[in-house]
Amino acid sequence: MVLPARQFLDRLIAGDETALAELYDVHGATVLRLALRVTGDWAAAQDITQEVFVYVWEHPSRFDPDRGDLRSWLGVIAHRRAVDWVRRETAHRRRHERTAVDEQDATPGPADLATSSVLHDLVRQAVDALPADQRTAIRLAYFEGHTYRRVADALGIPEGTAKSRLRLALAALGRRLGAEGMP
Amino acid sequence: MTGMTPPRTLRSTVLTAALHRRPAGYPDPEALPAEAIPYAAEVRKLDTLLSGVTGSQWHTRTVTGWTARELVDHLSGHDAVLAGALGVDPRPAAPASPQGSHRAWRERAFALLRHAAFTPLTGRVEVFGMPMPVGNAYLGRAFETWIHADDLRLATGRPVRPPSPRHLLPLADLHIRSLPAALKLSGRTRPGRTARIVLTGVLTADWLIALSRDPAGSTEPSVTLTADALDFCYLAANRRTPDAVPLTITGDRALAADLLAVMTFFSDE
Repeated sequence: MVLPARQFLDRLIAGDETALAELYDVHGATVLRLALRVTGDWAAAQDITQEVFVYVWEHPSRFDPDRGDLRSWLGVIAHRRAVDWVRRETAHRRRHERTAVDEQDATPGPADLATSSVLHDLVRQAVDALPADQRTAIRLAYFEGHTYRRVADALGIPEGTAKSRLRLALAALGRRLGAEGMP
Repeated sequence: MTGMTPPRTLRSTVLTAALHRRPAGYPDPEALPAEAIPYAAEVRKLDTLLSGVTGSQWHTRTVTGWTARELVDHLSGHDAVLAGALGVDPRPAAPASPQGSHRAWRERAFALLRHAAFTPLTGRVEVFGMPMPVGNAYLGRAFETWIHADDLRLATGRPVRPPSPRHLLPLADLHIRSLPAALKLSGRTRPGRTARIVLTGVLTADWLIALSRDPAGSTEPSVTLTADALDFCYLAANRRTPDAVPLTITGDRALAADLLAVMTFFSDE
């Protein structure tokens, strides 16, 4: 079900609580499922679902109905929050395990930008918009989960170059997704 | 996992958390035009304050002479004047309890804010017989809401909570821009004279203001009045007297005295 964008958005902006309830009833399960797939953690997925709806309720005018539908916007926010959660968890685990840090660990894990099955349209578009060399590096590192070493080998470039290329690509993605209204 | 349904409790948790952050009926402040933003902030603060006012506190007398509850009704009555002029419903029934006074005030204040979120604040509106730009009327509501909220805080032993500097600036600016009209309406017209007002403290800003529409007027200020920004607003609100506030006056002292005398012209209580 798609809620008519402009009119529905105005209800959210006006503080119409029935609009909030409708939004949750239509999209709550999708948001929860997405968060669960990325985090693999039931409690975290519920927390993220709450954060997403609270955020949208507090800042409905940050949504631009000309640039997509509410469902996509919710998805983008949920995805970002879930990825942040995974990143925090990973850092937390790393601090506790204190195992030798290999390159796979130093690289954001595949779950970090999330498994490609839940990659949101906007994330895909952002990746597609990268220069070809950065796009390939991102695909190898994050979608296929290769280490810097393997990415460098596959691209026939030094490892240092692969690292800086990935850094540039991540920064570009961050900027682009930020521009898409990701919190 | 596709068939997964969210737990039933999650729905109420989510809705409660959201409404805690922004109450129902209160528009997204980011959707408001600049002139309504200070009002939105003061309305939110007063709503929170009134939610915490209990029992006998409602009958505490404030500096205005009214009890806390009467003060809320008074504020509500003034909001109703603007709401009426703008054609904004609702018209809440006469409140039967202090909580009812709170609700009636809140319902109308939120309605004024929703109006501002969806209607451009252009054109003029007549409030208490004075025509003014609609945006100024909203700034006026912010000012009165703040001052009465602080009256209530002082009467019930709470610390005052003035607007943030960002919101204070347009309120001080409104009073300064109103000085020529205040002089004129008080019969103290000062043709061709210019005043400089310098505010300091939580914000720093200064104004050079022609005190009449005389095209031959001087751009050199006849008087410079320097005050703390909050003190200046308290003077305009008639919550301080000029002799109780550190003021620096250079130039025409008689003109300064006139300015200080008419400053409260647009404040009622």
